Amino acid sequence: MPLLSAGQLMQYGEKQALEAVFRKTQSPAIGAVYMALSTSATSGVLSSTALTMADASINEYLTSTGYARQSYGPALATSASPSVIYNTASLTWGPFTSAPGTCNWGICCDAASGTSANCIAAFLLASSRTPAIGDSLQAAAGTGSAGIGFLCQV
Amino acid sequence: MTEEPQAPAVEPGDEFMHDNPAGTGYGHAAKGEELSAEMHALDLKNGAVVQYMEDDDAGWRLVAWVDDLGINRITAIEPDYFASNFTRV
Repeated sequence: MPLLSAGQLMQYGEKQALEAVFRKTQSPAIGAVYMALSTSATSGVLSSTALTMADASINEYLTSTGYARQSYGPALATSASPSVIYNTASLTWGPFTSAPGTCNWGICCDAASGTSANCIAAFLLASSRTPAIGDSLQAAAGTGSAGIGFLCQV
Repeated sequence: MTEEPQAPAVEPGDEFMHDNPAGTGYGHAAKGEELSAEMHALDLKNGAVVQYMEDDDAGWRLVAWVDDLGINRITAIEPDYFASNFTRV
């Protein structure tokens, strides 16, 4: 299983979180969020100011490879400081019907498809992955420990 | 003049079964040969029931299903493949 580094909130997620806790706006309604895969290089490409999946820095896998975003399915954030949130089940993409390229990032967003989805957080994969035709790509369930699953902290 | 009967519209939540005439999984069919045991276990098998979610921007059909390991999955299906290899449950 690939190890995944701690996630970083992107601009949309940072603003949503700050405005909610400082009582400036209501939090978004409860709903599903999704994990996308990105081929952006590990440094110098992906922008934390990317607001939506349409941003040129995102470079998401194409659905024409059989790829689709997977439901992230996090548990509630932990009652600890720093508080963390992570996926509670394995995430598996594919099977791929054509080679999708090398992914370096997971990007959490708020829609199952479409470029209008808002970018919430980015997770750098500890090891890049290049699935082949017929393959599926698995990521481990989180445990709350850094380096396992898609774990995000503020 | 007779009109061709139209297939009923596909709505989110509609269920379909993967019904590949060759009896292979989606990944197996794409690769054209047997998958490794690990990848076979994760394949969208023939006979699997999927739930249609939505079409993506490119017209590929997103379907939700549960793999043999019990993991919830979403996979994009090429529209012509979907029309030919998935039957309404």
